Amino acid sequence: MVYRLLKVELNKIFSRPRSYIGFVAIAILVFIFQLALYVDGKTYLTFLIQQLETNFSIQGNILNGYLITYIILQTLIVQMPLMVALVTGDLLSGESSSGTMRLLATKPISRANIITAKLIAGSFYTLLLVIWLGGLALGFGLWIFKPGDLMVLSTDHISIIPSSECLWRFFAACAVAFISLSVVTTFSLMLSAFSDNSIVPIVTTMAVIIIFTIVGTLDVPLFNNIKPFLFTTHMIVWQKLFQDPISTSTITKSICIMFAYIFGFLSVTYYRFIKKDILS
Amino acid sequence: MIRFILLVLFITLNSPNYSEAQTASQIINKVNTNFNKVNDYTADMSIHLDVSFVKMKDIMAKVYFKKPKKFKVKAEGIMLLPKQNPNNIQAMLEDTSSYSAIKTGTVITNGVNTSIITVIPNSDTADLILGKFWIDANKGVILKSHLTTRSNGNLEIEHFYGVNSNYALPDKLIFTIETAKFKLPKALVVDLGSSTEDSKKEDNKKGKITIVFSNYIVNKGVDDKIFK
Repeated sequence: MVYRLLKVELNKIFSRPRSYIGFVAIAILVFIFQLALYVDGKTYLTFLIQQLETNFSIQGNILNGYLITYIILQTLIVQMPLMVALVTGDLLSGESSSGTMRLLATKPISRANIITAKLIAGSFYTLLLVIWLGGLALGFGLWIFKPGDLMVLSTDHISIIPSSECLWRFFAACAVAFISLSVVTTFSLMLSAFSDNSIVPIVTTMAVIIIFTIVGTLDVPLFNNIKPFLFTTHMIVWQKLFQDPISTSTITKSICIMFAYIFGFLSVTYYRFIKKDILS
Repeated sequence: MIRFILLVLFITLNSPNYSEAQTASQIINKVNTNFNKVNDYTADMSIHLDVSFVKMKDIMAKVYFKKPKKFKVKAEGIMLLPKQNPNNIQAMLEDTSSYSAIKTGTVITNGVNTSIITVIPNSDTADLILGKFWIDANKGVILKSHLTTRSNGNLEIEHFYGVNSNYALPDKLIFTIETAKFKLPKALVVDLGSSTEDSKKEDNKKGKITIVFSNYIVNKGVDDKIFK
């Protein structure tokens, strides 16, 4: 039954033009990044590494496909939750606003199965977005700029990852990014269960992510105690995969916290939806 | 009059500057003679960086040298090298007219009795401001160098020799460099996870670069194409 429901849900998602906004936006942004870095990448890089060049003579191809992919992921993964929320925030509330929820609830399907199907469909959409971003960035990056060692620039240090280790790190980063975005998927699904209007859960998800990201980015001691509790703090843990040595404990801790959030949001969603008095 | 001339001659010959400058030149000449035996060489190179703000694995590279100043390091990936390559020191010392050398003492370095030779460039515009070399006068090899340069501040190099010491080619070099604090704007590198507390942890202003040479092939010819 869930399988049939899932097919219906996927059909609903992919029949809406809104669902393709994320894919088109990612494709355009990846193209813009690749073009800009192809034309002006060396100038940009010279500016970034000028501090390093005061101490060292740097040799080798720094502006390579892996660096381009890393820059794109670093910049776009921050925006990805907004694209995810655009679709997943509408999964339950969309039914309510269009009046189809009552019809759906009258079918011989448990409410838990309805949510499960919607959750899997939403997660599948999220996974496709991550694969689309990673595939486009890595594929075109390696094709245009060729592979090479990855120089990861952070605020206070640089890490150089050998070319042979880059590919698996990118796959792992995409897997961690998927878990991170699943937090957004379940969060927006939870908000969606509370609303009969599509816009509210989408906008609320976006607002929460923006606020949390800003609070997490601000380097103010006042917020240091709050930061570990914000899910956005853990959503950027994929970056730790590009450090040497890899801090496995930090990554594992953040993944566990994200799973805890997913579990928490889902529990509330199931509870709310099962108990909900469906009037529309 | 004869007495006066003899007195002047005695003072001149026995003055520290005269006798020590001679000795310094002789010692440097011995180093130059050793290195002059080398027309070209290739060697395998392993580079290990111990710099607080750089995290990278050891790099394997191949180094090529051909007289007078052709020097190339080739590696497959990204490589961070000290700005001062070891052949620059030799090239600088070979041009004896470009500097004044003074022997300023002797000291035991790594269990070897060494002469300390201080080198001051004659040109005001040279990158090197002051060079200090600890030289094993018996073997004619530099065991330690301390360079003060305009572009890179202070730089210390420890030289370790093996079977190629007769060519003055080291088996290992340890560069100790001064490093400015590395800091990039957060927004520029989109490093959302970092905080000032993280960056406070590592503030070592000195870094070490260890280069180990192996498989030297000396005077067997090196193709000019390699240096292009």
